[in-house]
Amino acid sequence: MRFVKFPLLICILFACTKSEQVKNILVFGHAGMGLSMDNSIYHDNSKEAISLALNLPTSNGVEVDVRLSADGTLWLYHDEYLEAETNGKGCVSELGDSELSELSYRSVKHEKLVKLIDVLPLLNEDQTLFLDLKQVNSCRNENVDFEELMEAFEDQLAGYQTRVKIICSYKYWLNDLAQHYAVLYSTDDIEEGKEIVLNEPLINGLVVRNSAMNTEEVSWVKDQGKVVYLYDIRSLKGIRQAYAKNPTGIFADELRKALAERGYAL
Amino acid sequence: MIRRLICCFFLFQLLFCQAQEHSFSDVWRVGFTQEFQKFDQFSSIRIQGERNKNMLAVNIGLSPQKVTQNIFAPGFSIDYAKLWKIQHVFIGPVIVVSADTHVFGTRFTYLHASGGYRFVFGKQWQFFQETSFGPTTETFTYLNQKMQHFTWNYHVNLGLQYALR
Repeated sequence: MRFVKFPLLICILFACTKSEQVKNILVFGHAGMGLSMDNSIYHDNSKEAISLALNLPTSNGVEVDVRLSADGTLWLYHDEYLEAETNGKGCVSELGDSELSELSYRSVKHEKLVKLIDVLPLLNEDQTLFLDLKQVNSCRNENVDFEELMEAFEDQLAGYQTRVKIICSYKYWLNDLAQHYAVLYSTDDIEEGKEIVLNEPLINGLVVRNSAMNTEEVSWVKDQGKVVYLYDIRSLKGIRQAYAKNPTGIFADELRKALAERGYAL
Repeated sequence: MIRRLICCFFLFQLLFCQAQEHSFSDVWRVGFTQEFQKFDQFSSIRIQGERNKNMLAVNIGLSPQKVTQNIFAPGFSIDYAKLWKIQHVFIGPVIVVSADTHVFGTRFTYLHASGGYRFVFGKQWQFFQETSFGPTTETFTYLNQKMQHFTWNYHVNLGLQYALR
């Protein structure tokens, strides 16, 4: 009997009761199942990673990185240059759809690059897709054409506008984007973020690196009636730190751990 | 090339002869291991039987990290190792098959198979370190959709065991 009691005692000692606060925090997969995570089964921003992230129990959705191709199609890719992660060269914005569809990641499973329209049907009801807009064409050192981008959003998000939120780090586009979509401003400069929250009434809120924001700052943004999402959360310790700040949601690189830490009951 | 082969032959013969000098007999050991792998960590108790240089062990444990998340995640593994004595340590190949499971909304099942090496130090009390590499499959069904994923996985084990003999 002693041998039974001991493990039970250990379980009770280490088990924690989740607060209602933690249970209300939304959890999204960062770039699918984590950005540049060695432990991930699939490459970030791949269809396979997004499918897995969306099918994990209690997952609220995923965040992905979008870039505009030369043909005006939205593709999922994080880095500035294709040679960083794929068997291609150059920038997404410089290549056409036929060239991009030939590319695959230099990972064990060689996942193909994927278009945004191919992952939208994977969304389950009540799940949200965050589009982190990568607006810079690094090969030309300039932004992509805004009108062309808006056209792409209009065409390719048809039917999904209410389940998609756009993350933009270029503050001059915020107001125009927010006229049509739910938009969040991505920044690590908290003072600038506060300024945007106060001066851009149409934006939904902020997306900030976990280490750049403390509990009081998260609380301040929420007090303004805005949402705040934290990202760059790569360990269980980081997940617990982020939850303690009580943000609206997190973009977790260790999605399994983040979901388990939040608990099953929602 | 021939010189190298001859050198290798004598080197292995030397090691082999040293191993032959050590006489093994039936020994039972009980111990504790801590395993680190791609998805989780497991703390296990183990019982090992050894005859000559062959060691077969059964490990039963759970994930302490999952315990802190109020999830019961038991794991079970069987490992076989063949060890040779070199100076004061034992070293040799090991193969491991293991399974672990937990329920989070649905049942997740992981099956692992791996091969690697084990390094053992000590006699009555033995410390060992084991590293192996192999395939893992993750299986779960959610929203009527069966998900099965294959991945390569590493397993790093640290253990301490005691000879009952």
